[in-house]
Amino acid sequence: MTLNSSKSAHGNTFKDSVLNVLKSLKNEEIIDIIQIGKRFGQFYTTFLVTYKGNFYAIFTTTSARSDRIKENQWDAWGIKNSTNTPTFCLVLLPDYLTEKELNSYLSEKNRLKSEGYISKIDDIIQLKDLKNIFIK
Amino acid sequence: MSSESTIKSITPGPRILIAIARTAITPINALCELIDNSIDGFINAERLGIKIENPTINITIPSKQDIDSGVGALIIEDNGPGMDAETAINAVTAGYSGQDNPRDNLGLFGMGFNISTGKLGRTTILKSARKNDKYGSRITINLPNLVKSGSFEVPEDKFDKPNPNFSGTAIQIQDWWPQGDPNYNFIIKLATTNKNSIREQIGRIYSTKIREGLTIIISDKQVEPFEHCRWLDNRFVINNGEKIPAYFKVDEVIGTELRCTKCFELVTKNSEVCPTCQNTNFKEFKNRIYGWLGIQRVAHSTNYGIDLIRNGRLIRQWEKEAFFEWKNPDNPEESIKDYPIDPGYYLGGRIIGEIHLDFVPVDFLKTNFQQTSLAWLDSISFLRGTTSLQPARAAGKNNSLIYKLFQGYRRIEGGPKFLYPGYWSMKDGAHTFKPLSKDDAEEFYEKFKNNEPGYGPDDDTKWFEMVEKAQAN
Repeated sequence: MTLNSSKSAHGNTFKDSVLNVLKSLKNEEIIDIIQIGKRFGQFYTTFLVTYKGNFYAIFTTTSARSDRIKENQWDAWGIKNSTNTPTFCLVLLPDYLTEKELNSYLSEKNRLKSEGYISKIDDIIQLKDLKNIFIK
Repeated sequence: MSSESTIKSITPGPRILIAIARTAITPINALCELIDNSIDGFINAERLGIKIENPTINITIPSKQDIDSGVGALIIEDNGPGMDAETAINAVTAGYSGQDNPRDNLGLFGMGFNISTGKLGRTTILKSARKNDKYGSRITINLPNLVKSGSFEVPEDKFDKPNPNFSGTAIQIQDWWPQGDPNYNFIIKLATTNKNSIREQIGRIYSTKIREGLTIIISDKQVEPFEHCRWLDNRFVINNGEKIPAYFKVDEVIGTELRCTKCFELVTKNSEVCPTCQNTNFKEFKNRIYGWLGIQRVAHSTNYGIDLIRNGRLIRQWEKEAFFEWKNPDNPEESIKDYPIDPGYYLGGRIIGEIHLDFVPVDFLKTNFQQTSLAWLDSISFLRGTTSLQPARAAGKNNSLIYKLFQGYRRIEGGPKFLYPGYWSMKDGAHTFKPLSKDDAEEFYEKFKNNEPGYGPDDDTKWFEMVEKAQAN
């Protein structure tokens, strides 16, 4: 297995894990609709969840590198501009991160919360926190 | 056998809902049944004087990936007046038609909702809210659960409106039929049909409503109304000294009918009580035929004929048989093909039109008019006359508009005399008419669709230049 295909398999396994969590939320009638790989013109989100009349665009990534987050910012901006439905954009990371990835994640999360920082992404979270977004 | 009798209930079980969901219907027609519900909501709002700003129907079609993963939903939502809980329950009750006046609405028998939703998925959630209500009503129909419980009872609860002024209805179909079920492929077929093709079909079926101001959005893109590529009102030919325009506006009341104001059944003119419900109040309705008949800018092998519309929904597209084949009323086995049969027939036909027959009853899947009904027979007689279009082949006089168009445009030859675009070219040492080639016609039609100057729906000058080029020198 090459490095790239290994990364891709890792990404797909993570997506499956996210889908399983979302499905369990759907089965418990907590969220309304799950759409996979939803496109809004040129903009893309891995999952679009409908919850209490709002959209939640979930961008899955296995890396919190700043260039990845910037790509997600672009999609978040596009999606929010493409729909009249109030939309929250989340970047979702796996629970198990290398120390380097964990540091990137925490750094990006802090940056997002910092005053004056302009972001179309509403939060960066890990999979273990996903349920808490919808169960309040 | 005892003479005593007792009354027994033959109420069907909930499995009937699964059975009716086996009705043969296309995915597009299923979608149309649900669009019809929204349109009826807008029609009723207008009738009640409720103003709906920018009436819109928004349709979300799930992806194949969603269906394969057991997620996603087909959603049809509108910004109509919405329904209260009781009306919403009636709307999902099979056989209950909320249409007290079936002449003016699209919904007819109260079966379309159950057939369509049941074919598409196992669970349907109907959410509806009215402007002045604090909460909306949500009804969930889970077909397997209903069958399991043996009951027709469904949960109804309230939901918070997104804002106090919100009104509208959303139908959300989900929980797909599993592989092996006869309906499994139904939603797959819809999901895998090219979205532009779905938009084109819906734009054709509801072109009248869209032109009147209805917005339909399918998977985030607005549906454009279909426009016929017809010659404009000022074009004409001269046939035997008579000027025959390439466009006729049609607006004629061909009769009236009396209906009971309560059950809307037909009653005879001198009835005193309705034989169905004993009501004594009747209302006279006008049987009005309106629209237009005309000539397409080029002939086509299949795309010609008359579009027949009922209450803004296309029922018959490119109808040919009713207009271009004459059947002997004394011997239905005897029929004559009237059109196209003349020189140039190999190119196809070019008589077209959009005719509204709101008063003519349709079948319950709305795929055809009831062709044995008096209303249908009277309408066709009015539009195409009672004789063959070829005077030599059938006795009688025919003054119908279709007959006029047939006489003026039956032949496809060059020049303004026949109003057909093409070229006057040299062949075998002689000048002959060559009609606009298929490739050129397609190119012109693309320009028509893009509304390019000289080619579009309101400007046919470039097309007419080609008619003049086909003039014999």
